[in-house]
Amino acid sequence: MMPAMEIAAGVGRFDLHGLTPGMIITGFGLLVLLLEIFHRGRGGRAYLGGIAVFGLVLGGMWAYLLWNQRFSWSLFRMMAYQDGFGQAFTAIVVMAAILTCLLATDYLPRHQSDRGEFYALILFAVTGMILVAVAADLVTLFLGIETMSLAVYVLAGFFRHSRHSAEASLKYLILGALSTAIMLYGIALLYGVTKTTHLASIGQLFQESPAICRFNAEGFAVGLQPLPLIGMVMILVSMGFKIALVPFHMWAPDVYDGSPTPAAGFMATAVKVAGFAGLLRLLMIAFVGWPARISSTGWVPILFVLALVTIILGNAAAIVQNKLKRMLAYSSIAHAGYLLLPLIAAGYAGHQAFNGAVPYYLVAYTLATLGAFGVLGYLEKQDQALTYDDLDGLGKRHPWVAASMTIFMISAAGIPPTAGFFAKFLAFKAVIDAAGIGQFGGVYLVVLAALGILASVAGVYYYLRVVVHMYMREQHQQGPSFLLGRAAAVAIALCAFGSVALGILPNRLATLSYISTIEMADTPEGPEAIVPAGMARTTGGGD
Amino acid sequence: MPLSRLVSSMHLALFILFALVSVISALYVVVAKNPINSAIALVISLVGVACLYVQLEAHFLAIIQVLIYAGAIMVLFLFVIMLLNLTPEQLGSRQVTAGRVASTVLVGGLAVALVALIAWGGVPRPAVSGTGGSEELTWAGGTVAAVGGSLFSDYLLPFEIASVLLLVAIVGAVVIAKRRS
Repeated sequence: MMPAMEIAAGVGRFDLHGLTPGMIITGFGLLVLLLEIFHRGRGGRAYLGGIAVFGLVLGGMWAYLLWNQRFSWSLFRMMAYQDGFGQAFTAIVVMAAILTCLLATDYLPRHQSDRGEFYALILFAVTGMILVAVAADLVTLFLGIETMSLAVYVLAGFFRHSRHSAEASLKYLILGALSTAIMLYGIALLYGVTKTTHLASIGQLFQESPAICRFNAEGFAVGLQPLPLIGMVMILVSMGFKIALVPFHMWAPDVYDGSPTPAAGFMATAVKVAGFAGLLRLLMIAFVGWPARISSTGWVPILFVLALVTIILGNAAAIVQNKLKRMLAYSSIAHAGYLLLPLIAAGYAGHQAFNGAVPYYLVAYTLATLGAFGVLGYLEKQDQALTYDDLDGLGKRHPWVAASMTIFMISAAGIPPTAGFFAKFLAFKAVIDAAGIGQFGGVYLVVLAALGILASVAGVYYYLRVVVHMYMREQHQQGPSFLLGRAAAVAIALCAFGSVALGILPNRLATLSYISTIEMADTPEGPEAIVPAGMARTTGGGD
Repeated sequence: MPLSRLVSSMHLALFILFALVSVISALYVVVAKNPINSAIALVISLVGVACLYVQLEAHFLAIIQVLIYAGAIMVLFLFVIMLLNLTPEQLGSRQVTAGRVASTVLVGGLAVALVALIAWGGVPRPAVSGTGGSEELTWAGGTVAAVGGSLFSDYLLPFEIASVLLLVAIVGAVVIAKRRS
């Protein structure tokens, strides 16, 4: 039984320090909820969005300060990490949330849904995402994913008056609950065979335990035992659902189509960022070890196939869409496929194949996608899905909006000089480099890269179709007569500016992404090694 | 008769009693004609299983079993049954169909497989003997003190996250259900 003193010793100053960004953001979420209760009168609730943005900026700045300490340690008895990787992904998620809140202050009042809970739910979702990014334990990872998902289900159904929105929310909830169940089964199987939920401890066992790996006569690990393999695959399937990889993507177009547009943008970007953070943690810390990566039963072949199908089908399906939101949904699915490429490279050739492509790509993708959703949110009329024809003549009516949209499309297509180009460049470069480093079968990676590049060229078609409609078609419908709200205009301008600036000066961000990814890969493994000297808690585990 | 023999034979007698209660009421869940009776029998079965948990020193699990399964979830079941208010005709016939035979065979096979697995020790052994911290807690069993100690030390962070998770769920339910103002 635990003596009371030891229980009190469970939390140290440093534990709380590492989680401060998340705590600030949760606190502001509660504040927004409270202020919503005391809101009186007929005035708008844009100020609640302002408070949310303020909290997010504070949290993001704190994450940057923590990141600058260049110092990794574990929090709450190996439940979470404080490291560059976690803080970098915190910053990306916070950026997406800030842009979403700015867009929402303009969008919600126009759709008779001006309620403060929207901002509170965004803040709580961000809390969940931060926990996914810093998770060092399957329990934390799971709870983070659930906190994020619950908030996002509600955001999808935020328009109570709309059947579309309710349908999107219900669909997302039911399919999401199914994927949660699959993940729990996977975790249970892994726990059954490893007797631990710490990612690092699982990682050690994946490298050396005969209960996990199959060894050949010379003592080399050649594959995984069935039980851990099934557990790992189930967890990967569930993560694949969250980031919308192709066999598990069916929900995405319907849900994005029915959700309020800023919420759809938030789902397409921030949820994907958190999903990739969790996936990287799982693959690089827990499912490490040569057999897990390279044998026919490891995760590299699985991700290889998923990436190939996702890129090809995502782009192909996006080409045939006529509704813009569905087009963006399929394009975001295709982007998830490109984002898998650096993971495959790292799995194939080890940590030296990391070139920081994932965080960089996520930043570029977030700016382009949220910006595009912002523009659609501005043009959208009540409960009516936009098609390409609704963009006709936009270049004349709203030159600035059309120019921004052009930048987003060019960046998403991966054409220089935009951030999207460098993102794709880094992702493909990681694969090509890995083909050179790895020992055998590099030709598969070259084929993967070649097919990916071909598919992304095909993808240019539907991105440029938007530009063609905006500038080369005559208008035959009445567009919105009102002006773009100031906050939304700022958000769209920031996205456009960021997309161009990161395309012209990619160095700084590319370096930061590289360092943060490497820091995660270098996080000392094993429960004890990670607590730096002088910070060790006074008591050990539960003895 | 020494006290320990008495205690262990009482243990056995109680085990048989609770096991019979849960198995018989579980059977009644399946054969009962009225869905309400089925649901009530399920409550009894769940309580019986909770008693078995107590015998295994898993007090916390037993309490949770009663509170959540026998309490909250069964109330939902009853609520839905009464809401639908199906007549016997709507419930359909009770004849033997191919689908029913197939599902019985499938479930029976699963039960046999489970029993065989437990009886002949086919369950794979864990790869390691714990990672230090939580080992003793695992052995302390599921008493409330052990679970509490674990929750407030090793699992403090997940415990706190769960509070945010529940808050999100409540706020979300209100957002979706509240009448438009």
